[in-house]
Amino acid sequence: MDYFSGTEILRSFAITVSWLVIGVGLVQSAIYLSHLAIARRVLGRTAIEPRSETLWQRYSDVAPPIALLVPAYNEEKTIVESVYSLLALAYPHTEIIVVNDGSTDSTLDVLKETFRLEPVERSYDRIAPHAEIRSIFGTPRLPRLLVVDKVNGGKADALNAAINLARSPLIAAIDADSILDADSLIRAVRPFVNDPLMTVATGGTVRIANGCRIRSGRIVGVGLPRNTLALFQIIEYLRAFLAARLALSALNTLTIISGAFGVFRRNVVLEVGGYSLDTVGEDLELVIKIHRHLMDQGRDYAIDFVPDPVCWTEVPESLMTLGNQRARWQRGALEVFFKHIRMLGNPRYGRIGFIGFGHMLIVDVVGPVVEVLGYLLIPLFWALGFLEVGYLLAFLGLTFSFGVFISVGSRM
Amino acid sequence: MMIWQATAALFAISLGWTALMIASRFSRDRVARRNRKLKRAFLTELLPVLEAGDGEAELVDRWRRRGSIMSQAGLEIASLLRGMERAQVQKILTQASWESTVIPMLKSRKVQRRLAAAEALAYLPSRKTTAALLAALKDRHRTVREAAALSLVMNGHPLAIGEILDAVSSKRATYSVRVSQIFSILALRSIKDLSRIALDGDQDTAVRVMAIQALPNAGDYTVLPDIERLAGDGELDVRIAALRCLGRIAHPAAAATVTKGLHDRAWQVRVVAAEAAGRIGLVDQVGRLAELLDDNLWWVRQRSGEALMALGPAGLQALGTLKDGGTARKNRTAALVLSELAG
Repeated sequence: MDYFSGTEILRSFAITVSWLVIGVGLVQSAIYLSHLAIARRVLGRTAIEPRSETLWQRYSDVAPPIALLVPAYNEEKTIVESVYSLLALAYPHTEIIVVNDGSTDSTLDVLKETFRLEPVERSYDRIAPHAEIRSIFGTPRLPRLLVVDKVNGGKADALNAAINLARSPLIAAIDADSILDADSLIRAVRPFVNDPLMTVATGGTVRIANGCRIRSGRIVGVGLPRNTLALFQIIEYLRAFLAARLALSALNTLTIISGAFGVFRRNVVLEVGGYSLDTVGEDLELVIKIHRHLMDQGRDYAIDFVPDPVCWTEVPESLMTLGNQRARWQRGALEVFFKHIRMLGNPRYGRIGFIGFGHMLIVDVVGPVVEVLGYLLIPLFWALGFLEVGYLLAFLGLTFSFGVFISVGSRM
Repeated sequence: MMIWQATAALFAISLGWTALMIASRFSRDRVARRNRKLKRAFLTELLPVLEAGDGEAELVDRWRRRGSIMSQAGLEIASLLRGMERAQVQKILTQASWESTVIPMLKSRKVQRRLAAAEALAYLPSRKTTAALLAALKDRHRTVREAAALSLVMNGHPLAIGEILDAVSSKRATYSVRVSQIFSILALRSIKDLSRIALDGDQDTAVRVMAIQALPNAGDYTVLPDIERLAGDGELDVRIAALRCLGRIAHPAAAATVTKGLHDRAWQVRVVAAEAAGRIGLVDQVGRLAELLDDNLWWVRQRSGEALMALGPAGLQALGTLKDGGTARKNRTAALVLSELAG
C-alpha cells in the first residue's frame, strides 16, 4: 500500500465516521425536537392545579392509600428528617415503611430512639425475593410507621422487603435522601383516580435540591447551586423530565420512572416479582418488566408521567461522583436493554418495542458510543487536515445552539 | 454559511424565549403577590362580617372595584364553610356579581380555569349557574365535565344518571373514581335509580361498582335485598363491591349472603366476606373464619384473623386456641394477628 492510497483510506474512514456522528446527532436532535413539540402540546391540555388546597378538596375522598417505601443504607444523618417529612405529607392515607438495609452506621438506633420504636410482629406474604428480615419495629404512637431491619441486600432487595410488608394498593419508592413536596402524592395519584382501571404506574418530576434552602426535611426556598456541575444537571433534569418523559408518556412509551419517586400499583409489581436483584438499573427494569408482562397478557394499561409532583434530590458536585453515578446508570440501561432485547422492534410489544426500545437503542446504546467516537476522532481528523476548520466550528456552533434551544424550550 | 445562520437563529430564538420567560415570571410573581395581599385584606374584613352576621352590603361596596379578588377569596372560603356562614358568603358573592367573573371562565382556553369555574359554581346555585354548568357537560376535557356534573348534583339539579354517565365517560369508555363522589350525593335522593344502575348487567362494570359503593351512604336498608342479589352476580368486581357494601351497612339480615361469600371460589370475595363478617358480628361464623386462617391466600388469612378479632371474646378465644394448636399456618396466622392487633 503506498502513501497516497493509505491517506485515501483514512480520508474515506474519516468521512464515514463524520457522517455517522452527524447522522446519529441528527436522529437524536429530531427525537429531542419531537419531545419538545409533544410535551408542549400535552402541557397545554393538562390541568395543573397550582393550589394544594383545591387538590385536597378534589381528591382526598377518593385517593387510594399509598405505602411509602424508604430503603436506607447508612443514612444516620438524614433518616430522621426524612421520616418526619414523610409523616407530614399532605395525603389522606399513607403507611411509611423504612427498611434499614444492613447499615453499618447507627441508622436503626437513631430511628428506634427518636420514634421510641419497639419490636413488633407483622404478618406478610413473601412474594418478592429479598434477604432475611431480622426484626420489625413499630410504635402505637405512630401506627403508620414501620421500620424493618434486614440483612444487607441492596436497594432493590430492600424495596422488595417493603413491598411484601405493605398493605396499601399503591406503593411509592422513595430515596431516603430525597425530599417530597408536601402535595406531591396527591398530585401523583391523579392518574390512579382519573383512570383507575388503566393506570398501573406514575412518575413525577425530580428536581435538584443543591442550592435550595432546606428546613426540617422541607424545601423552604428554591435556589441555584454555586457548583457548575450541579447547575448543568439542573438543565439536564428539566430537559429529561419536562420534555422527554412527558412526551414519551403521551406516546404511551414511557420506559422509566425515576427510582427517586414513582407510584406503582402493588399487585402489578408483585405480579412481575418485584424489583430485579440482578441489575443496577432496577427502576428502569421494573417498568420494562411491567410493560412486557401486561403486553404478554394482552391487558390494557397506562404508565403515566405527571409533571407537577416534585421530588427534590441532591446531585453530585464532583466529577468523580458524577462519573460513578453516570457509569452506574449507563450500565443499568445496557443491562436492561440486552436482558429484554427480544422486545426491540417486536410487533407483539407494539409502541414499546418500536418507539420505547428504539429510543433506548439510539439514546442509551448507540448514542454514547458514537458520541465518544465523535469526541475522539473529529478533533483527530481536524488535526490531520481531513476536516475544514470552518465546517467544524459551524457544526460545533450548531450543536451547541441546538442544545441551548432544546433546554430553553423545555422550560417554556 | 447556512449552518452559521441556523446557529444564529437558534441562539436568537433561545435568547428571546429566555427573556420572555424571565419577564413573564416577574410579572406573574408580582400579580400573585398583589393578589395574595388583597385576598388577605378582604378576608380580614370578611371575618368580622361573618361574626356579626350583617354588614355584607357595606363590605361589597368597599370591594366593588376588586370584584375578581372578592370572588376568588369568597369562593375559596365558601368551600371551607358550611351552614349559615356559607350562606352569608354566598350572599356576598351574589352581591359582588360573581357570575360575571366565574361563568365566563367556563369558556377559557385553559383547562385549569374551566375546571376551577365548574367547581366554584357548586357553591353558588342559580338559574344562570345551572345553564352554564349544563353547557359545561359538553366540555372537551373530561375533568371539567365531571366537575360540572358534580356541581349540578350538589346544587340539587335533577340530572339523570344516564346524562351524567354520558358526560363523564372518557374516549376509552372508562370512568374516573370521582364519579363515585357524584353517586354518593345521588344516593341521598335517588337511591332506587342508583340501585337500578348497580343491578343492570348491561352497564359498565366500573359504573356498577361505583353505584354499589355509593348505596350505603343513604342509610336506607330497603336496598339490602338488591345488594344481596348483587353479591351473587357473575361479575367478580360486582360481587366484591356488594359484599364490601354489606360490611359497611353491617345489617345482620345479610348474614346468610356473607356466609355464602366466605365459601366463594374467588379469594378476593372471601377476603371481603371475612371483613363483612367481622363488621356485622357474625359470631356463628367463628368456625368458618378459623378455617380460613389456613387459606392458601395471605389476604384471606389476614382478613379472617382480623375478623375474628372484631368478633370479640368468641373470636379472641378461637385465635387463642389456634395460636397454641391447629396447623402450622393457622397457628402462625393466629399468633401474628393477636400480636399485631391485640398488642
